[in-house]
Amino acid sequence: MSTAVISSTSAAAKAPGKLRRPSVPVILALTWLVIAVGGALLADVVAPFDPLKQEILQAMQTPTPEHLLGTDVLGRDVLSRLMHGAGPTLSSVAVAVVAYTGIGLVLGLIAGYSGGWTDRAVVALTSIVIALPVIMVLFVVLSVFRGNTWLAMLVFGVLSSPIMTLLVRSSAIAVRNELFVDAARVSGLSPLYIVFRHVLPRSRGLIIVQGAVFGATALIVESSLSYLGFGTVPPNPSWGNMISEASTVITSVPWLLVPPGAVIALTALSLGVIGDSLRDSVSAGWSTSKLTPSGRRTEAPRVAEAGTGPLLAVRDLSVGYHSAGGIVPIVKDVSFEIGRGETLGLVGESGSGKTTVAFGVLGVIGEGVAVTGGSVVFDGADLVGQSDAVLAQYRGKRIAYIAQEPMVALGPSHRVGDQLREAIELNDGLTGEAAQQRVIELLTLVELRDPAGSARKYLHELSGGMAQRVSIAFALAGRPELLVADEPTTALDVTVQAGILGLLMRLREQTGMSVLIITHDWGVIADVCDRVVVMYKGEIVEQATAERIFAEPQHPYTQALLTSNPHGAQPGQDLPVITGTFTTPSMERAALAGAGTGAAS
Amino acid sequence: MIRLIATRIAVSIPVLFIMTILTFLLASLVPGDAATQILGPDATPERVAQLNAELGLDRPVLEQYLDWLAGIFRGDFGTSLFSGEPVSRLLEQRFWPTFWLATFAALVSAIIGVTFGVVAAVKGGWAARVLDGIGMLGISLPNFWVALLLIVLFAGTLGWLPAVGYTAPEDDFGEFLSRMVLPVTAMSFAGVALIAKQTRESMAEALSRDFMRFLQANGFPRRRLILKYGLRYAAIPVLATISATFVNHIGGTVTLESVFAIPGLGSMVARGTTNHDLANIQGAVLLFTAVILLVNLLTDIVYTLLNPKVRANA
Amino acid sequence: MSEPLLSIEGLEVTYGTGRKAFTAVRGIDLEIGRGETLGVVGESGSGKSTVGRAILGLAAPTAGRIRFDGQDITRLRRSGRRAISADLQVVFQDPRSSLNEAKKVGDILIEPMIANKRLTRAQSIDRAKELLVKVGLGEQAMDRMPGSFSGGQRQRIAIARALMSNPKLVVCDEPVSALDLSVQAQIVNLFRSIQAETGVSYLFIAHDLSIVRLLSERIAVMSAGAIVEQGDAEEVYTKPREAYTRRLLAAEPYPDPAIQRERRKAWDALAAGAPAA
Ligand SMILES: Nc1ncnc2c1ncn2[C@@H]1O[C@H](COP(=O)(O)OP(=O)(O)OP(=O)(O)O)[C@@H](O)[C@H]1O
Ligand SMILES: Nc1ncnc2c1ncn2[C@@H]1O[C@H](COP(=O)(O)OP(=O)(O)OP(=O)(O)O)[C@@H](O)[C@H]1O
Ligand SMILES: [Mg+2]
Ligand SMILES: [Mg+2]
Repeated sequence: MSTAVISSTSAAAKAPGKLRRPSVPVILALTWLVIAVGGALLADVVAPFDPLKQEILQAMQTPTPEHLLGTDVLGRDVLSRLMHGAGPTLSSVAVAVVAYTGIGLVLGLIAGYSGGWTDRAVVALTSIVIALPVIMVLFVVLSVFRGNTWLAMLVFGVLSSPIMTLLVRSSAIAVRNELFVDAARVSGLSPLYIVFRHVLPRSRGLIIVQGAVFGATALIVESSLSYLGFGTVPPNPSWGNMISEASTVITSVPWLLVPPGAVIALTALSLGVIGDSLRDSVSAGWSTSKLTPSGRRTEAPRVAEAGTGPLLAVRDLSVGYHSAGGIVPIVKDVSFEIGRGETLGLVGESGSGKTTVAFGVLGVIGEGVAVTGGSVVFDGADLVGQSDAVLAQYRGKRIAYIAQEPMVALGPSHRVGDQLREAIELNDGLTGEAAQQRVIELLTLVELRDPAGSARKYLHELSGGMAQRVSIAFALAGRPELLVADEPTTALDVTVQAGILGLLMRLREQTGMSVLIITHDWGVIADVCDRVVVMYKGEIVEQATAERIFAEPQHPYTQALLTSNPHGAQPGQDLPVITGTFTTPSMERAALAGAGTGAAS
Repeated sequence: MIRLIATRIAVSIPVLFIMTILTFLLASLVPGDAATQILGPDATPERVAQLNAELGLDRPVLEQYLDWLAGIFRGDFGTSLFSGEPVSRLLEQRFWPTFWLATFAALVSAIIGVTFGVVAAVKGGWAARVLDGIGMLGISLPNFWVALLLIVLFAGTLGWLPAVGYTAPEDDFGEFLSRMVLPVTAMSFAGVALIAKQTRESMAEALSRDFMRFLQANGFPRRRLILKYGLRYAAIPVLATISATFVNHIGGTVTLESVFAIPGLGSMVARGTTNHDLANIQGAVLLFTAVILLVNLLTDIVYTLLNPKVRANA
Repeated sequence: MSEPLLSIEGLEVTYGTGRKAFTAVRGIDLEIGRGETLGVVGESGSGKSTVGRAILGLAAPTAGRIRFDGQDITRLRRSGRRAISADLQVVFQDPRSSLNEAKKVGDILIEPMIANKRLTRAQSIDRAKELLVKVGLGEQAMDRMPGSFSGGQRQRIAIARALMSNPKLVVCDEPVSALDLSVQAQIVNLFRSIQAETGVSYLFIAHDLSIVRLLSERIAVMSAGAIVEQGDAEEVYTKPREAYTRRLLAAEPYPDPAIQRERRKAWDALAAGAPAA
């Protein structure tokens, strides 16, 4: 007897996924449910025998052609009893499910959408009901109203409904906070209309899932009750009491346990399978792991000419993600270098592959994505595909990373100071008091006002600007030679941005490290970069020094990107805009190759 | 934190009262039945009325209720209508078998479930799919049926373990353990499935967080990220599921103790329901309710300790 | 005739009650004339959205008065809201969540028209097609789901939805902040051409002065829940009176290395005086 809830935070708020073609298990599950319900409804017609007719001479048979599932202790046909027993069992399960979903739906939607006092009242009520020992209440009910399984299952549905209420409520709250609901309110649509046309459709998947899973639970509970003798009274059959009868002869005919148990299990399983498949389509697939699995390359990287040459040389780096139709390229043949102490800017519009390049350099591309070619040579050593053991000497120690969204970059459940200290222990080899001192030192270095106080805080207690300073301190813990900063200021206010960029420039001066900074803001480029790489559709279209790129942009895409900048524009006039597509190096090569073969033939 | 616990307790008290009222009111809906039950259907009406008077069942419900409630505060839960024993003594005797059963089952479910879930989340692919299958089975198989199959196999066919019965740990610890194996296994089936599933989902979510990538890129080893940061992130929903599993197990004792003939509170409720022995049911149900409330309270405290956001606000 | 389309006096909005009460904005005075654009800038959390939401009836004012088109709309009931909903519309910042993913673009556009019985189904379909063409998406967008559009395209759909009822005022809450530079320019141009054509007024919220300046006749600068400076757009942009506005302006990096080096020096001088964030 269990009340199954798998809480999945991601499932609640997602849009309804397109219903995919049902999979084989789902088809099987549906088929079984149709058979079970059909058998129950038509038991009088299709059952081969009278479920109560005893033939003592033929008692306790294993399956025969006449009695397909054998006969029980009193020689009654098991198949016929299963069919007749289905009715009471399934109908009381249905009662429970209807009560559960009905109450949950109504209360959940009302509480979730209207909020305020209504919400608080509903939540208070549910928190009391949810604390009741439901199964125990059932026994109290049954001890008074003997054999009234329908009532018991109704009570079970009602008392379990808070789970549904809370799920629907949180899904309704998630939807209510979406801007399209605000837009609907601005348009003067009534709350009822919004609930039924906007909120309910978004929660539908969740409701069906939870209803199906609860159905399985209710079935198990119902059969437990009739197993214990509180349901359908013998000689009338129910699935549960058939098991109970079978249990009296388990030593002589264990077979009798199988048919009723299997029927219960199959029905519960079918409900579960249907619920689960819907859950997957509701939560629109699994979130992919951001942890990159260890690489397979185990031979140590060949260190050519360490200490000379550029600090980082990326050669023909290509990255793609796995999809049903093979590997889809995201980044194609990207090559660039960063010298020691140099700051390189990577610009391009959203989706051009900037972040993917950064992840490729760091070797943290995540699950489902693969480096399909090229090399990332850091100080003479190629890092692509290296094992964790090899990369451990680089990550955090020689190459560090700051993310775009500081508020999700650090772990939320540990104090930021503790995490920073861990980074210091890992990357700088300090321990104990020395490490603690270094924490304060680093937080002072990134110009936090109260370093000791900030170290004791959790991430959510920091403002965006403070959090970004902490993550810079994090990146500096291992005294890296290269800092990869992916849009470190995009999520921040301009005033905070100015402070952070200033800090980065001062740190660069102090430590002599190189910086790879990703941005889509030309102002940031002008502010901090020595050289610029422009990306478009996963390829590099132009590289030049910062001075040159502003003065004489070569590629039409760069030119267009620069002119759409609002700074130079005149108020009252239209801004120049990028239109159409631009050729990328790979397109040019393809065109050349096409022309080449054309000429040859 | 203190406020949170106070709120919890504030909710718990009405729940306990609701349970007392519920059990009592429902019972009073069918007056006299107890006497008929005890005396059998052939008893004369006079004899029934006399017994009712002896048992105090002819007084107004409210009066009976208040009497009973007052008794509970004194530790007196009335006497069993059938055996005539004080209910409080029965509760005391029968508490431990149930406690061991539910606790062991929760421990086993938690350990196996969390391990499975973490492995499935980290490995993904087929491991996750196998786990999904096991999980579906775990919640679809009625525990008493599993119990019967286990008895057939391990006690019957193989003869490795005793089929039914209970030995107190202080009497014979080895025997106690061997008699616990089958019930705990049958009971843990669904718990393992639920906990593994929740762990997998929460862990998968933890691994999909951006901070995983940030920490990995800054030199944190994978193993530490999974076992320290991942588990910690997933801990709250997993803990809630473990606590819910324990509560479910308490409900499950009613059937399983009947199957395995364990003299615990669960079988006391089952028998009481059959016999219409309301004093027994009331006592057992109330004790169960109190235990569940206590577990919920403990869960909330651990939850608060784990969740820096709640702790900061409380 | 000389009455402004929208006037706000002494607006105050407090979220929550009791211990959790938080006054997000206070003492706000604003006016927007017909066909005019008022830009509102300020740092995150300064209360820009709250002002917009109070006008739209999505946040309840705790003090002050809002007049729109000759009518007091400070505490309008739903029927009153419904009556003015044709004249007062909104475009939000987040192009992801501002469209219901489960509905076709066509249905998103015509739904309010039909539910409020403003137009017949056929009329609203015609109007929706006309607007989709106007915002540069084309009629065939009617039958597609929002999920299949890019951020910029979704923002165009949201603009089309706002224009369906020929509104007099559109509250634009950071409508271009989430977009790429190139797309941002297109949307800014779209806003401008629509205004030239229909004479609609905008309350244009952004955190970026350089964008607001392009569209607005006047600009209001907000900080910590209050308006610190308000005036002619060019004046605020070129000759800011308040230190806060100057800081805001100095912080925006300029896309030219030589100029930016000077600005950086100026900023460092300013920042030396003020505490770090
Ligand atoms: N795991 C993945 N699966 C499928 N597509 C992906 C995956 N990772 C990235 N992409 C796609 O690759 C493209 C490049 O993404 P990337 O994040 O590198 O762009 P970006 O230049 O950093 O953009 P932004 O400025 O928005 O951050 C995008 O179209 C993105 O949708
Ligand atoms: N529903 C709410 N309940 C409580 N506080 C709120 C609520 N909405 C906003 N706030 C608070 O009110 C203040 C102003 O918020 P508002 O959204 O108006 O700022 P904003 O200027 O639009 O910021 P942003 O640029 O980040 O959008 C913030 O401190 C915010 O935390
Ligand atoms: Mg990116
Ligand atoms: Mg805002």
